[in-house]
Amino acid sequence: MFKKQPLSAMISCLAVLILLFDFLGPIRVFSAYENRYLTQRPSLNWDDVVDGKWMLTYEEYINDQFMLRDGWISLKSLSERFLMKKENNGILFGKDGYLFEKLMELNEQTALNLRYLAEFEALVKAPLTSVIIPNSYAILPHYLPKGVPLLDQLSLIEKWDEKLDLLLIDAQLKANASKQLYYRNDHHWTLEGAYVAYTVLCEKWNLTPLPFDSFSIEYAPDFLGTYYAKAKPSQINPDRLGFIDPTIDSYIIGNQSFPSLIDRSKLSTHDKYGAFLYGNIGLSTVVVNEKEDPSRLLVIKDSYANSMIPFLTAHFDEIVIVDLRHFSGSLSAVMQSETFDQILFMQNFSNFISDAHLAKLRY
Amino acid sequence: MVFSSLIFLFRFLPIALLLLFLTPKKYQNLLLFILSLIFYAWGEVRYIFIMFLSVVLDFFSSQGIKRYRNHPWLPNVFLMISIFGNLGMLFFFKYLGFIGSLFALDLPTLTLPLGISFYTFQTMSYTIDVYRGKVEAEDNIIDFGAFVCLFPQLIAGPIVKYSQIAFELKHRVMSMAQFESGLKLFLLGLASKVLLANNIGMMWDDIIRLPVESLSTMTAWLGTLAFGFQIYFDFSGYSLMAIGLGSMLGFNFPQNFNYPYISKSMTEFWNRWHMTLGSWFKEYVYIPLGGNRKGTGRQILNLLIVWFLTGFWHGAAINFILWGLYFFVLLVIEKLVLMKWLNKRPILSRIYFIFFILIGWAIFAISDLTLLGQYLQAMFTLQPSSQWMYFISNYGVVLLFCLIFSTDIPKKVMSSVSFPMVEASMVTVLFLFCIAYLVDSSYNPFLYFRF
Repeated sequence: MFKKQPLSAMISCLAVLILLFDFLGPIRVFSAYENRYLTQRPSLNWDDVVDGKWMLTYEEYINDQFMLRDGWISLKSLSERFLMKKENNGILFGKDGYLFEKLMELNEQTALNLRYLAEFEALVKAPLTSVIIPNSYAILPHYLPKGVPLLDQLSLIEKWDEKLDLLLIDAQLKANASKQLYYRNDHHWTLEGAYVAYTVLCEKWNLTPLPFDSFSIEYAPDFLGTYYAKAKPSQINPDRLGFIDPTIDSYIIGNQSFPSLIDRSKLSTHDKYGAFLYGNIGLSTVVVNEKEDPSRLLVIKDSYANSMIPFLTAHFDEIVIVDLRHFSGSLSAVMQSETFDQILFMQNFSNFISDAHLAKLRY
Repeated sequence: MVFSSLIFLFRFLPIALLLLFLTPKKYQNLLLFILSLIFYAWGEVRYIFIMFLSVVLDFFSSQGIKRYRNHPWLPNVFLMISIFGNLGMLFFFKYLGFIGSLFALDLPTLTLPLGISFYTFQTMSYTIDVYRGKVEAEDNIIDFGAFVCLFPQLIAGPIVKYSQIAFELKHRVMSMAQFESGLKLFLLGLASKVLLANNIGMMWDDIIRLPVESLSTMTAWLGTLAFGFQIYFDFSGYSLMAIGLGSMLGFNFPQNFNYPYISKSMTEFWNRWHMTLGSWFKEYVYIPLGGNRKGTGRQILNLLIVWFLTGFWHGAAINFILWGLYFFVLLVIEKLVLMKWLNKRPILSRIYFIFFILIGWAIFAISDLTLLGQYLQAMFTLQPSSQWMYFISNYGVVLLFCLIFSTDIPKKVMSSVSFPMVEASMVTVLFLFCIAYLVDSSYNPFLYFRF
């Protein structure tokens, strides 16, 4: 057979190998290589079969549990390099090891979110500051491959500012672009980037920002984040994750209380950024100083704010934090439960234009 | 289920092949019928009844024609039942929503049953052929069901006429040699879809998502070029996979694509592109209408009808009709004046062909007529920009591969080296890359959901 039908022989061997592995091999729950949970075998039930849900999940399961999955992913990224592609899985390879999100269009959600934010501005009683944080490519355009037609975040934010009351931070970010404000391998900003936003906020609120060097900064090395997990670039330029761990009274999530804002157990995993504020929590409270009539800040945010909030502990006694993506309660109830000196709405551009949870601003 | 998925490659296909090899000849068609229904139901459980309806409708109308052959009008009635039944199904599922939107009626837009445009045409041609006395009516409903639902060509062609596989339906042999050559075709088709079509399709996707007013001239042309490559490698890849699978199972399906992009005229293109559809329309519409035997005026009218229908067959939207009529105009001009001129000019004729085929693909690809207008405008207004540099630098190598593989050069090179071992290894390597792209798939669209 091997001599006369070599192709049939080779392909059958391969198929048998893969089938054997599929049925006998281990089932993985989490992929550290991709930094995500893998689909498990769906249980068979009639309703899911009839509406096709079971088939879809089963196909995902086959893909996710495929023999040597990580190896195939590497082979694909190798092939993309061979094709001299400037990107892989929607992540652009920039200069100097920078990876960027290939963000080319707004979507249906964007107009809705702009409306929700405008309605929210009209609704809130306390002073509100809204920040839409530009993503890395918008501040570092000269690191992009030439000619790539991405959304012009800065002029869009400026345009939206005509109707909304936004606090613009791009000028300050650009002025500090000699420092590393964004991670090469992750979609977040670095501690330096977060610090820039912190100083702009202080200025707005008539507070005196503390100098960067006055914080005791710690670093976790070898940080490869979400961009890296998708793009799998040939050259690895790991970042280091800087963080500060200010003294607080307690950090309260539900009925649990923690002594610190940093979940140090995350620092040794792939999800290092998850160390800030113990990840994205629907509702949490930082009690900086336990006292009678505390100065209070409400932050409605996505994960970008997680690394900035520790700076703000120097200026507020209590910080209440809401992440609408994980929050199932009523935002107006939170706002009515306490008096807030300031309310901060802060989201990164990419998330702001597509996040379906901003509808919750109205409840 | 689609061929370019791990579930097909590593679950359905190996199990199906194993069962087919183990099952005695007597039950082969029954098994094939059942396997095909599972293949179809994987994507659309609810629409499986249409499959049965199709089988029953044409089986019994053909049996009727056979039994009452000598009756003065009954065969006509049975033929009409089949034609109205098939076209009725097609109309109901594919065109009802469109007609509704055209006349502002409140008619439902239904999800299109997978492959309905293909199998209604196939079964209709069977009954027509029985009526014409070209084939014997099939007496075994299982064998007939296996023909209608035959999974290799069920959802995206080629359009196989019953007469072409009637013999193989009863007396096919699965041989190792045929399996080997079929497997090769299947894997080459898979590579065409997964490695070429999907990769160049991303470029078209990028470009059509850009705000149309920001498109530079160059980018707009690159966009239609990318789409032209995507639909070719996708569609011909699917056909090749179908032909390969057929061969592995002992069927000989007709060729569907013959390097259409090396054409020198639209007339030649349509002899090389989706050949089974072209010959279907020729045999069942153009020739019955009188073809070219009733004078030039009548011939042009016949062509108009055929090309209106061809366009409309591709999708229930105005742009597909425009697309068909666009080819009607070009083909008539070629027939009346241009053909002689083109035949003498090997280079100019290719430029002519590529220019007009790219405009054609823009019409085909964009269903929103306002956007289509703006896109065509972008193609013909001079607007310089550096956009194209990104598209060339990111997709340049893929474009080059597409260019090379849309000609017959690779085939000629391959056939001059005849080392089966080398060839087999190369195809296996291609397959490995296909698996890699399917495992890490962020883009693997199915383009025929409107056919």
